[in-house]
Amino acid sequence: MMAFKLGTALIAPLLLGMAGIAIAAGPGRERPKSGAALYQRYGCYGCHGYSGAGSSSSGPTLADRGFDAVHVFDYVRQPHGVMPPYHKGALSDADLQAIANYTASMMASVALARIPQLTRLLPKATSAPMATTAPANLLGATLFKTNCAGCHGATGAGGIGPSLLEEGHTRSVALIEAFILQPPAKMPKLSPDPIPEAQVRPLAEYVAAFATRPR
Amino acid sequence: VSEVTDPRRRFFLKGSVLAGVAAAAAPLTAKAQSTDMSGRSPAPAPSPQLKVAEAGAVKTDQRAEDPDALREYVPDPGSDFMVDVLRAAGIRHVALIPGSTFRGFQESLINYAGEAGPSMIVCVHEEISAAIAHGYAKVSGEMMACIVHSDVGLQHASMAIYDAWCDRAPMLVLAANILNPGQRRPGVEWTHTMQDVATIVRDFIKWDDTPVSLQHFAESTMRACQFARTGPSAPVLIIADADLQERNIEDRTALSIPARVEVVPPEGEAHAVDRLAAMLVDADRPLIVTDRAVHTRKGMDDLIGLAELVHAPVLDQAGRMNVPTTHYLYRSPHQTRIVADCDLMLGLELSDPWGTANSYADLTERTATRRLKATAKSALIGTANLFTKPNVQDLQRYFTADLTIAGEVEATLPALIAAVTARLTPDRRFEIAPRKVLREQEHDAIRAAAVKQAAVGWDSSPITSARVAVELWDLIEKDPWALVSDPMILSGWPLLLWDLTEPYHHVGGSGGFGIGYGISAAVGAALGHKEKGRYGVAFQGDGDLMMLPGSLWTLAHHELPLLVVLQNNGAWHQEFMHIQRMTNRRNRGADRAGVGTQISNPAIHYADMARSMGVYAEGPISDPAKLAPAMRRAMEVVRAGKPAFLDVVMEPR
Repeated sequence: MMAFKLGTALIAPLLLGMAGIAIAAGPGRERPKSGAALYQRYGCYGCHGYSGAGSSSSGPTLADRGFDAVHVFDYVRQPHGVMPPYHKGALSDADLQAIANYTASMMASVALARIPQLTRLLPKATSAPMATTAPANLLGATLFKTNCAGCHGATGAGGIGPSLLEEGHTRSVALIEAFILQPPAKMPKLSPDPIPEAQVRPLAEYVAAFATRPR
Repeated sequence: VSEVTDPRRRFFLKGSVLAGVAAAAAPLTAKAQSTDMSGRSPAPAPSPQLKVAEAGAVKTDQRAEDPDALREYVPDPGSDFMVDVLRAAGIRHVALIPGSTFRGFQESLINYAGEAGPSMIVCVHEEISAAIAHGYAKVSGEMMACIVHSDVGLQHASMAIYDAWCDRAPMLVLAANILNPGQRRPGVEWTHTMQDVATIVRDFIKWDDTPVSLQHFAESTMRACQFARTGPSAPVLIIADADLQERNIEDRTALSIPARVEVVPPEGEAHAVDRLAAMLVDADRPLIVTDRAVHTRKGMDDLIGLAELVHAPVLDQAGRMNVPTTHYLYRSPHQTRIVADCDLMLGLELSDPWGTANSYADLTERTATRRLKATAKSALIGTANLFTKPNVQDLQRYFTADLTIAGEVEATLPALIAAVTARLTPDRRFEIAPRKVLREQEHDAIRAAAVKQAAVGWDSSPITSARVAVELWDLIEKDPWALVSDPMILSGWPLLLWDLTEPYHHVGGSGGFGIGYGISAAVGAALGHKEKGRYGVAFQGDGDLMMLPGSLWTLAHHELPLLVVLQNNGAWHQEFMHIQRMTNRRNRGADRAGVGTQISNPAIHYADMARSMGVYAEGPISDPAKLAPAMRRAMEVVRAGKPAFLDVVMEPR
């Protein structure tokens, strides 16, 4: 599915030895209009991959994360992490909007269950219930790392999503829990899948505890 | 005599003739010992001289029969003795590209070394020679040598020697030179001579010497090998003077070769080890961080044993294969964030303690953020304080640890385990026990998240690095395989999804990040694995390949079993991202980061290139559905003992 989304406009230049960018850099070039082509022209693929798969050594996954275009647009102008900002002089509003629309439409290409080479690699214990009485709330930490850190950063300081460091000051644990269970439009719904409802409380407690951590 | 170790091309030579140092007397005749090691022509039939030798009838001193011999030939050249020294030092292979300053030595390898070795690994560039020695040492646990042609050859080799220095890997570099001006031909032999050749690399080797006699050569080579093997391991350099190589040995009985002696590795001081044990037992959230800590199965078992005592997760930075990825305490380099959760960080042979305890953002204003809590304790065990040099800045930024123990990790672990065990009271064991299930759940959660992540873009073209890793794992899982490329090259997917369980399953990375290491060190690693009945698999960057593509020829020439999977991303991609960052920072030309950073116009036909050097090759492969079948075909070649190459059009990372 992803290959279809990327289309031959993206793949062909690669097979030709990435000739596309050098040609595109020349005078009088015709500017591509599609978000997919602009995503390549401005080098978004360099860190996030042609498919949006991303990489641990360059940039996070964009596909299937539920990002909306408004959020992506704002983040590209003012990123919070190590991503360099794209200012208007380098990337116009119109082109950025097209890229934001494109990235917001990215989806995982194939459901995991349809890939036997991968499903056999799943740990056998995954279906076992996780302990919820860890003294240091390790369950909350694990859930956060797996489901939240991609947007809010490993330390909760923010990334493509907002900082959570003050959540514990502005909301009670119960309110954070409710927020996760019924998220606003910009935030993906994480419960009951992949986070069972019963495990949202320790996650909320973990998020609330950011406010008390030494910084 | 040999370039390779293929038994099909071996002569059987009786031990009485070739019994290493003891047989340091007469060389067998050239005809008797020379074989075509390329495998492209059958081995010659044993000569009459060899038959006589096998019958034990060859005189050991031909000069006794022919007193005028010295006027016509050199019956006992010094380089024969040098070969004996290498053999006694445990050097099984010498990598080289021919050079006139060591023509005597090479002739001794061809016609004197015999099946006892060392064998010759033929290369097309000295950097490849040195990198092969680097890769081989990490796999085999034994040093390998490379010999280079004076100043020009050493300059070529210097990049790979630098990598080995940064990677704390031992190797013996022999640099030939002509010290005596009276022995130099006018012209090139003067330009290919330096009065101090070692100065080219002295900043990143552990020791060097310039022997002026054969006895000096023997003793200095043994000393150099001892230094190189003792932690921190590093390359060493010995000058092999051409005149010494070529001149006749007047009196063999006046020469002796010191026996190889293993140095007892430095162990951490007992009181400090006990202090560290107390810190580990008292900590509520201990974390062990490893980099180049483990070299043996016992070392791995000890490290696991220590971690299990306190159920401390082990953040493995993958400088070596330290902990099985299947172990519930294993944490891959991707999990750096767990440093922030610990109240004690124990670093074992870390290359960068400061960079472990801190993060650093490459923004307009470069900023550091402390990852390790201010209240957390820290301790280090390693050899960094035992030896270093000032010029190369590979020591990284200074880090203040609460306790630093100088010593080799593997040598210190048994005492540390004993001290921790002694300090663990029944009550403390009871308190610590529940950590295990949490660590197991975390390990499972990390694996599950990685599997889920690997599905993203599964059917996309260019093919995702995750898919490449998974498809290959499907084919090799049950084989005697080993990953010989930097385990982080493919975004570290093998560390997340493969079951790496043995100390040889990977050997870390280059150390010095000098490109060209990947393909050439993989050749040396494949040589080491071949000797153990295993084959290698390597994920290979296209930029790195083009630095030393001639490595493929050595692979084919010596028939080494290695699968090379090229990550064809059409760029020096790290640099692409750097230029992208610069254009963004300067608010101009954000669509021009590919200028000068992409390998294009023309595109390189990598598979054709590999085939031209005798390697089975397919590609470019851009359709993910065609990947697994191509891998299966390539693996048939590798399982038959030969190299294979796949050009895969992949995601940039």
